[in-house]
Amino acid sequence: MTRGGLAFAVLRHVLLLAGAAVMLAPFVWMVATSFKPPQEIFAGELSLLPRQWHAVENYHQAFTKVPMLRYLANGLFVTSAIFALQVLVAVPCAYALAKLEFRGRTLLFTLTLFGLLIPAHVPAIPLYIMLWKAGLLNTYAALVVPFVISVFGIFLMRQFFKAIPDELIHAARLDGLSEFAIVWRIMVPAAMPALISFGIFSVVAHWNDYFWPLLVINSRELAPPPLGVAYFRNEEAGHDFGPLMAGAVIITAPLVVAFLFAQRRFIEGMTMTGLK
Amino acid sequence: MSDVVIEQVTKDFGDVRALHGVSLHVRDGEFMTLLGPSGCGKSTLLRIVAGLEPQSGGSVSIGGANVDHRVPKERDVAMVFQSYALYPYMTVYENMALPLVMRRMSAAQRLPLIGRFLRGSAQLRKGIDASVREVAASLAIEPLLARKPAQLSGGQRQRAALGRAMVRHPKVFLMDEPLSNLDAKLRTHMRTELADLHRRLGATFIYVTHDQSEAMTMSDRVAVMMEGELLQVATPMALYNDPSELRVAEFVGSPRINVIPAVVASDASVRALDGVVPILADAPVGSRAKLGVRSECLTLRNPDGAVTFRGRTRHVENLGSDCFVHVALDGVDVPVVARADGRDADRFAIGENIGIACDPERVLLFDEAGRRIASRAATARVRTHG
Amino acid sequence: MAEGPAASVRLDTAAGRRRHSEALAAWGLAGPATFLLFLLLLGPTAAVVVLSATDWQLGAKSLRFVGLGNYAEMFADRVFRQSLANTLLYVAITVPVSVGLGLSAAMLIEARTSLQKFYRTVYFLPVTATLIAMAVVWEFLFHPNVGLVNLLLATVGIAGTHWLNNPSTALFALCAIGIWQSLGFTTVLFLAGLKSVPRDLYDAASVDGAHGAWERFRRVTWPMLGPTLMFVLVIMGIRSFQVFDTVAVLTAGGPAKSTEVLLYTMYTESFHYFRTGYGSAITVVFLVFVLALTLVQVRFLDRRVHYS
Repeated sequence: MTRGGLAFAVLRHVLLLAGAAVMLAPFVWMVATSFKPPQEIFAGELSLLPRQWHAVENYHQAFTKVPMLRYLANGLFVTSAIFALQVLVAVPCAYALAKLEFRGRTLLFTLTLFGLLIPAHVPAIPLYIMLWKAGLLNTYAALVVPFVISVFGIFLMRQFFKAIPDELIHAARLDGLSEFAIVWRIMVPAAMPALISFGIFSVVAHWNDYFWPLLVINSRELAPPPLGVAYFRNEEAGHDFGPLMAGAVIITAPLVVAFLFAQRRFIEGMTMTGLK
Repeated sequence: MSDVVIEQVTKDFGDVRALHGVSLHVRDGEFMTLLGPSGCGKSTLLRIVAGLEPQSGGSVSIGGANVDHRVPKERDVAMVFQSYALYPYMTVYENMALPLVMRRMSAAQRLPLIGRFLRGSAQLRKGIDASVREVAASLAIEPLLARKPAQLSGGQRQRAALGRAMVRHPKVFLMDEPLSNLDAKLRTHMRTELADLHRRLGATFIYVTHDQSEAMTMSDRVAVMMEGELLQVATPMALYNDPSELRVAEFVGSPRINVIPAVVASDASVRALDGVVPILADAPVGSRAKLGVRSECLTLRNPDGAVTFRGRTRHVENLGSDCFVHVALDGVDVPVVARADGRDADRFAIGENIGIACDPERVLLFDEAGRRIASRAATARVRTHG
Repeated sequence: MAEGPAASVRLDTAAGRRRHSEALAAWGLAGPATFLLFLLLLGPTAAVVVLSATDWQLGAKSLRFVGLGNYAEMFADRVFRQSLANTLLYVAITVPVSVGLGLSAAMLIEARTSLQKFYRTVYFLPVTATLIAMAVVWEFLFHPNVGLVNLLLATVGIAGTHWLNNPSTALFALCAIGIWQSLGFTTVLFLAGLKSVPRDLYDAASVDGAHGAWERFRRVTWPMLGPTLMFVLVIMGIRSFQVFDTVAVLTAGGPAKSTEVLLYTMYTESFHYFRTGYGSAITVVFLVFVLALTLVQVRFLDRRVHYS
């Protein structure tokens, strides 16, 4: 349906491309700077490509000044652990809420809904105190344990499970499967798309979390990527922009690459448009 | 005058040609149905007439004036959509009032809030109110005016959509399968209501459907379309008795017309399978043909008597008033269906040999490509397709 | 459904035994989640509310109940009032701009089919990038001498300032980063909303006379986007209310408290000054604001949900 003809089509691209340029500029500048030597950076010129390639030095410094790879590895470990545990806890509960009848079901569901309203920062102080008393501060446990309960995950999986026909479950029971087996052998495979969305949502949220690691971690070895970047910035103290940008590239690359590979899933997972 | 002239209209979607030079003249006040299977281009043609879609070639005129460059509002047409397309956030009243608001009020008067206070606004609103209520009364939906579409049943929504179309008293009513979302009983009821409406308003109706029974029962004339081409335009009876093509014959009429392979045997007969049918065919002797016979033109008899075909009874469908007997014939993949009186249903036993007599006066003949061959019963009057 | 103490499960009937075993299985499956729900979420939330009424310091041996004393102190404190004002200002700028621009971008993208996926990807890219890392990049972009922003401004003859160090511009610089990072989010949400508007409605509107772009927007697009708009506004409101990362890494609340925001104040009070009782009170205020925003959405959606 063409309205407005060619003129509008052109205008549309002009406007959208201008916006796209603003969206991309920081990335482009970040990458370009990570290739430049200090003289060129401080020359204050608007040039994209470096006259002298300093990439190796910048990236080398980024990797060695602070344990950059360690930060990435921490991110991978922590987000995987969190998601794995979240699934173990949330999925059976979601199944029970969706398909089983028991006293207290509505109460439990209401409490879950209530939990959805509470922002992540609210329980921070008491959680910190609990971890402190348990002697778990500054450990991987401190990074993982508070997030093992995902009310969002319970809610999402319950919605999905409700849509799965009851006959499937009756047939499974007749075949002799226990409820526990039904959850993992029948429900989960049927709800894969929801699980993937949940996974993306959880991994991205916890990979990018700065607040909680800031509270509970103070040693390099345990820092996840955002905390690692903050450490790196403090080290560089605002002078070595080359290595600093290189560090930023290293930290943002994994998620950006993952996003480019699975855009639709990423967008679904992160915006959870199913959540109304 | 509100006739619609469609002249050699073509429509391309990229490389795909959806309409191949369609020409059609819809007469003033006529109920014209565009009939065809899904994807045949009938809805596209309707949208082109409405002005929602530009054609790639050809022209459209309404009431004698060329409307190719006019937007829908200027063409004085109204449209009823398959999904009704009622604005869900407006009440039925507001839905019906909108066309009048857009037409009668100026841009300034339509402005939210301040438009209300401009001079003449109140007067216009009163007029619109009267028009809306008048149409609502004629459709018996006055009590529904304050409701939103979600609070209405299917049939009520349909009438609201009709009301929105009627309120402007347009030259032409365009309807895109408006009954297909209704259940069967409501559908048959609405068919009569729509036919009534057409008589009352006397306006030109162009109606799109894939349901041949709708087309047959409601229309003055039917235009059969397939794969972007107009095959035949005729009254329902002419379509039924005198189709120009095998495709048309197969699409119209229920149950489907029986098709039996045949050969023009001699000057005065056509041989089909083992039987000979005495008809004069306007085709060379020896040429292959297809015999088309409707189920009511076949009589079931004892196989030893004077019959054209012999076969075995496969299946009997007893509808009470009629029964349809499916007979398997050697040489035809699909069983032939013959109609008999409902009271005789018990006479037919599955698996039994049975004979079929074919009435040469009512047989249709088509060539191998599906085109109609002029034919007449030997010693009967001439009949050609018109 | 058998609920409540009156409908207790009977073990002397087959049906009762089946219900009993089903209930057992259910609690077995939901048990860990229920326990953790209380331990990690509901319990701590209640604890925060209780703590907010005390003067407890982190590590202190004893505490005293001060009732609403913390709240009184908060609203009398200039820094807290500044913090709240900054946060509200941040929200007041970030939300309308990112929602307005997001809607515009979505409508432009949706208007034609060419390059739709490309634009969607590019606009969403900042949302996926780790905010802390991009904040550091933006800090470099805002550098007074060699930052891209000032270099670009210089080409049109405008002298840029030290954006993050100037008390009158620091908060706006943070707003810019926030908008940049959220724009893709709102755009994508509006794209989904626009795609869900049935094409038939536009056709009907055309035939009714609403053929031009403005009329189509006013009569069809805007009303149909109502729920989406509300949803996006509230989500963005809650999101921007939680601004913390950029403040913590780039400005630490400065210069001169011009970028002090609610969560940052909560953080410093609780974990730098160890005044956890007071910090809890700030948390409660924060919670109240977020709940209020959510409630607005629920009420609105409830009223308007009768469309489909």
